[in-house]
Amino acid sequence: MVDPILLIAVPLGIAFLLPLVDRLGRAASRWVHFLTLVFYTGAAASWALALHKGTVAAKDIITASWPPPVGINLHMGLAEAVILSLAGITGICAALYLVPREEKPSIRSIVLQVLLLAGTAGLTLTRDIFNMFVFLEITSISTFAIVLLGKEKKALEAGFKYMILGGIASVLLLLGIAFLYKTTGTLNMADMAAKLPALFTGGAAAALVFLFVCMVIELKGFPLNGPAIDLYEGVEPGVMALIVGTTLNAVLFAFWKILPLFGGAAWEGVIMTSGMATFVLGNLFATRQKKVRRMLGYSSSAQVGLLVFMLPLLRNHVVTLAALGLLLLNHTLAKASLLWFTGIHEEEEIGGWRGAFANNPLLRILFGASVLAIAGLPPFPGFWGKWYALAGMARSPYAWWILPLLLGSLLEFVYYFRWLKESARGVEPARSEVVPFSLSAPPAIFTAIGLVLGIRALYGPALGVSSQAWLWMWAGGILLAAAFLPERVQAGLSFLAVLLGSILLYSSGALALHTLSGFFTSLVVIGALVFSLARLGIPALHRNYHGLFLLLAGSLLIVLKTDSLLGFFAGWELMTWTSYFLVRQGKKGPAASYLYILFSGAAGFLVLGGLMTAVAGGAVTISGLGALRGNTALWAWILLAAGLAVKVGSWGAHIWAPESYSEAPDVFTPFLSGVISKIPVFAFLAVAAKIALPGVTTTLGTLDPAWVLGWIGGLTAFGMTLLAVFQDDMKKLLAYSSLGQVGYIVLGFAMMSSLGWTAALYHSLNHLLFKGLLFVTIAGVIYRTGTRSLSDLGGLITRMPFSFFAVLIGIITLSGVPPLSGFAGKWLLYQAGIQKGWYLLTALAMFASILAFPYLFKLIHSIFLGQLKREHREIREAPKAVVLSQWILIAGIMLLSVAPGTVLVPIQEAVKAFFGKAAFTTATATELATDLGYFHAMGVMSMVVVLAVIVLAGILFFLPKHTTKVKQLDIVYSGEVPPPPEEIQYAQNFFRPFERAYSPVLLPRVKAFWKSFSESVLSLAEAGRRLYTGDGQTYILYALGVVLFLVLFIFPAPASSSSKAPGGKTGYIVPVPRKARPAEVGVQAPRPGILPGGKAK
Amino acid sequence: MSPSELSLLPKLFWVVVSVVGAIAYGLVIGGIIRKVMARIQGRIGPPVYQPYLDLFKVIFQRTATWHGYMFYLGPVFRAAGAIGLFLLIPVVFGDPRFDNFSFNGDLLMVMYFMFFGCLGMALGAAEGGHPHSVVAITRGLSQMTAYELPFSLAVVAIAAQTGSFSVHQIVAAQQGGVGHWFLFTNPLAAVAAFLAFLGMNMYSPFDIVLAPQEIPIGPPTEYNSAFMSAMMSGRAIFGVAKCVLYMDLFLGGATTILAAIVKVFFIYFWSIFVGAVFPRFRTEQAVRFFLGWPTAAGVAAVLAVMLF
Repeated sequence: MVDPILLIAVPLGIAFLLPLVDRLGRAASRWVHFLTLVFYTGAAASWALALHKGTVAAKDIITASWPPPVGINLHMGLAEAVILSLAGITGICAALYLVPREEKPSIRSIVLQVLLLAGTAGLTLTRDIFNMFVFLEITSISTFAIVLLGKEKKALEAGFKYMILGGIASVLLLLGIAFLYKTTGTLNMADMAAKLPALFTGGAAAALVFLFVCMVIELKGFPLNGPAIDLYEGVEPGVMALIVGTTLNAVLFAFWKILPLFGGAAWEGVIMTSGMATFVLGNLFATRQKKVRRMLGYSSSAQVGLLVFMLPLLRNHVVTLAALGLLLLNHTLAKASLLWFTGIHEEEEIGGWRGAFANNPLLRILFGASVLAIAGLPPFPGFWGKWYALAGMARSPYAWWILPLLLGSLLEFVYYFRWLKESARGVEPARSEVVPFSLSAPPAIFTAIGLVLGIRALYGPALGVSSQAWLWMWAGGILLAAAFLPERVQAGLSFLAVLLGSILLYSSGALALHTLSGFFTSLVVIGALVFSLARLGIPALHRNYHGLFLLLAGSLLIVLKTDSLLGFFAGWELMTWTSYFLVRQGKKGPAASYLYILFSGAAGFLVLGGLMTAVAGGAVTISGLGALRGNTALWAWILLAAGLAVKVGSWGAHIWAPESYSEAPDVFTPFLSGVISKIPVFAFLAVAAKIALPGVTTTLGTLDPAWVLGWIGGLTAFGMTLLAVFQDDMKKLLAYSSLGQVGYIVLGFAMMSSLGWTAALYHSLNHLLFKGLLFVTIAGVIYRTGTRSLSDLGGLITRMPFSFFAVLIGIITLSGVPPLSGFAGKWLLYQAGIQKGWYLLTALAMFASILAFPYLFKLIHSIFLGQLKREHREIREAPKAVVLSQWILIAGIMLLSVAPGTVLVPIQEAVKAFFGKAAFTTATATELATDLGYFHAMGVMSMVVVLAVIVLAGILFFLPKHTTKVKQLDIVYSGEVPPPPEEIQYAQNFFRPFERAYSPVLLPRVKAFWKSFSESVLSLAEAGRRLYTGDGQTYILYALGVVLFLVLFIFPAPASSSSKAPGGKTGYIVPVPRKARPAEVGVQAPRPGILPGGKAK
Repeated sequence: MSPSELSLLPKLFWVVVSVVGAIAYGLVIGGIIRKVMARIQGRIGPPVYQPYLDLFKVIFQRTATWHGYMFYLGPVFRAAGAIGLFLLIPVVFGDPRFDNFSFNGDLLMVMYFMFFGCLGMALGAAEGGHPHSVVAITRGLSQMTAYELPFSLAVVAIAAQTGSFSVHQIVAAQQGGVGHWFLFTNPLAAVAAFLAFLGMNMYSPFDIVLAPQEIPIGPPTEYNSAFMSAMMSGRAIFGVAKCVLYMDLFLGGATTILAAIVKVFFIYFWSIFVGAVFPRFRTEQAVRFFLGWPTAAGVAAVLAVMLF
């Protein structure tokens, strides 16, 4: 093992030698630089690996042969080794990145880079507080210098302000150290922490305030982060990435080391509040930012704030070192990558990012991945870190802090995904960017590190990710990597993969309908198969489509199969982002998908909140949820139900869905509507329903939350159906219709009865069949005609008869008219409603179902009936693959129509497992009866067919044999023939009287609400942003203000300076019990078993 | 659920008898309506058997044109839907001969089967390509959705009161005297349902859908000859079927054919008499009307069931 002290000494020495080496030529100094970095990284990494494996013990190094507390001692533990490895890798990547970026490369830049690493090592390793000050100065000075190397005015100004505030920080630190030294007589951190409580004085109190404010400045805490944010905006991003990866982490670690000094509940509160305020406000202010780098500055400040917030929790063993380490690692990897990207695409304003990296698919993928990583989505390390941290918090008295934490995380979604939205390809031909290898390699390396660690974590056996799911996801990953193949080939491969995956699932018995998971897995398989088949006929718009689709399907399989809460949530979030990217591929997808990810993100955080409530109640697995009791159960249920309601687009939170459904690629929408909208339902069923099952009366006073959910479902069914009537965009019409249909499903589940669940499950399958049929057919129509607008079409029945028939079957099924399969769904739902005693809700559902008739007629009439447009006279039938998939779906509908029992009998069995009661009194394939009613599917079908045949035969018998088919324009217009013949198609203002009748309820109130909501958030951000005037004097004033505030109000000097007076008024005087304040944590090696780097425990 | 006690052939015989009888009766009622309306308006009016003459006339009329397959299927759906609806409703309580095929489905089935004909009709007429028929269809659909709300509420109230969606059980629950009829035991539901009936029957004031006098719009003008005859008989039996349903739901069903005939007549003429007095609503007025008082009555009926 390399002596850790060399990590400081070697770069320090090299830094001084480099100007000499440079005499031999720049190449030589670059080589020396590189070798130094390799040595540094190698040494740190070998320590990290060895410590991780436990082959060596953490090492204390005593300098100058003086044992501590007199001499300066260094400590090399796992945390130190990881931070330094990270610093080393960042150093290498930054050096690589900076080579082509400097116009006139000077040796000074290299020297300063090396110095920064030396300072980082010192800051990280030292256990002496004054020594820490020295290294902080070294890093600060190197930082100022490297910043001031930039010739731009902005950089100079930012650097100057940063230097002033940094100076104040140094002064405060020095003063603080001096006071503490006076009080305790030692400079060794561990020694000082041990002695301080007994010797506490007013001077020590002030010293701690100084130390803390110094740390706030150095760690960019609110409100002293102004200069740092200016720095991000003005300084070369390659340099900023280096600082993020080295100094920032080291300072954070230094804070961790002196944390034992800050004993007492008051300090804990101050540190946590400060960290959380920085996190939430930084993210809030970032939402208003138009300048990309400034936005990243706010984000950095926020992320570090989160880590600062967690330090006291780490001390209290609430959060593990592993969790914190993962968060820190994730932030470094993702933030550095993003900073590098802002250097590759040098547009200050976010608007200038339109079409960024359009010619470079690798960079696009890496950029997207970095955004996913920073947003804390799986499989990147931040996701796991956040989960473990939250899980720890949930089980502790600090659980309420989860609320602002999730809020801040959601705000992160707002601005990062806006960035992604803006960077979508533009209409103008994208400028060609030739990106040198040394610019694109660093983000690639960092993303790869994150990805490898994350995938390793996803492989954790506790997560229960099945090998089947992995198969689908790896297939997706390979296809993503093979995105250069022609679209047709990819579509074929993707279909084969789906087919193979489905066969494997079937043969492994994963499709058993009589289990919930099997039932929903079958939905996924049916959807994936049929829609992949249809996609063979309609090419995808984007070459990443197929890979992402398989990834999405794999993530669904995770959600459906796992029993672990973490595995479930990982699958859920994977589903969120894969579907987000798929929605984004539509022509107007970026804007629509932005709304999609915001609402999905919010839904995800609600679900996370629910899961955390469950974790707080002691649950780890889904099957363990049944043990929840009382308020924990209630709140877990409510949060999960709320997440579900948002994710399925319930009324009030529906505004994202019509946009996403209609703007998503035409071949993806059926999957979105038919399958993905059912996954939240499954989640609710498998997760939330378990909570209420074991007899916990989840009532909020007299209010049954399930009843509220039922009304949400009913109102959604009604409202969305009504809105569908007035759509002119056929996909939007069907989108609203889908939302309404899922409303019925939610209603059914909310009933929490065997009949209600049977209705909902049956409807889930049936909705997949008929809505998939409609969407696939519509996709064919759009593919042929190129329009989505209903008023542009008409009379296509003669050109696309198969598609017409498919839509006809689809709308009859949807409407619930017998004899097709839709009726059984309605029949079950209404009976369940009556049985449950929700009469008004049942009537509302009936009304809503009848409201569907107008839009269904509009759909089929405007496209297929009436008069054919001139330009459509040569249109062909939809591609064969589309027609084939239509027929498969029609066959499914027909099977369900004559024999609904084939599915309902297994469903009954699945539901019986939950309620112990069968839904039916009689259930055969074709005949069903409940306590309330009965229904003979085969009988009705035969009756209808026989009657239709008789009537048709009658008409044909009486009709003359020779008739002429009337052409489109051979019609009478009240006795006059309009010259010249032209098409008259009634398609505009289709239901005008209907609209007039409903006008009072049709005001767009929900949209207005969300609009004003987002405006309020943004104006709040705008108001807060003004704190940062950009004026150095203001920032100094803030620093002074914070010091005064803390000294005067939070930690007023004790009345008597006697150290023995434990005044009741001020919290800090009370010596903290030794047990509660393990001061040694900072100086000890982390316990083996807490392993940063992703081992899930 | 009361499966038929008859074997298949006698069953079919009685079904044919019922259907023919219902069509015949529907046509007679049509004739009476025309006579009554004429007298109200001070005219002599056509003879009561005029609909028979019309029907036979159109059957033997010839048409030289057709508009495509869906155009054929429209009247087929319409007539099959109307006959099917009739066949799903038991006519005479406790008499297997007039029980029809009601073992195929309950009240919910009947409700949804009503739309079968409407939908087919709408599609068929729309394929004719005449924009006016589509105007009529949109009006019809708008109005239909509106009156279904009070009707649904009434159905829910009755089903909740009976604890069943089975028409047999609903009729059975009303046996034992006039006082047991839902018309009297749940008057609010009856109000809602009978107001909805006005829209369902599409006589004035809710006849803008057909707009019989002024403008030649709507499905009837699109069809002639055998199509027209199918539609006429469909309409005749459809009217009777709806009245039978109302009879079963509110007037205690019928134990004899005669009672059925009388009750159907009165239910039918409720809409005729209202229509004779009131002028026509525009579509949006009609929609708002149904969403107003009839709905309020329906909600009150449901609440009454929940509370008492």
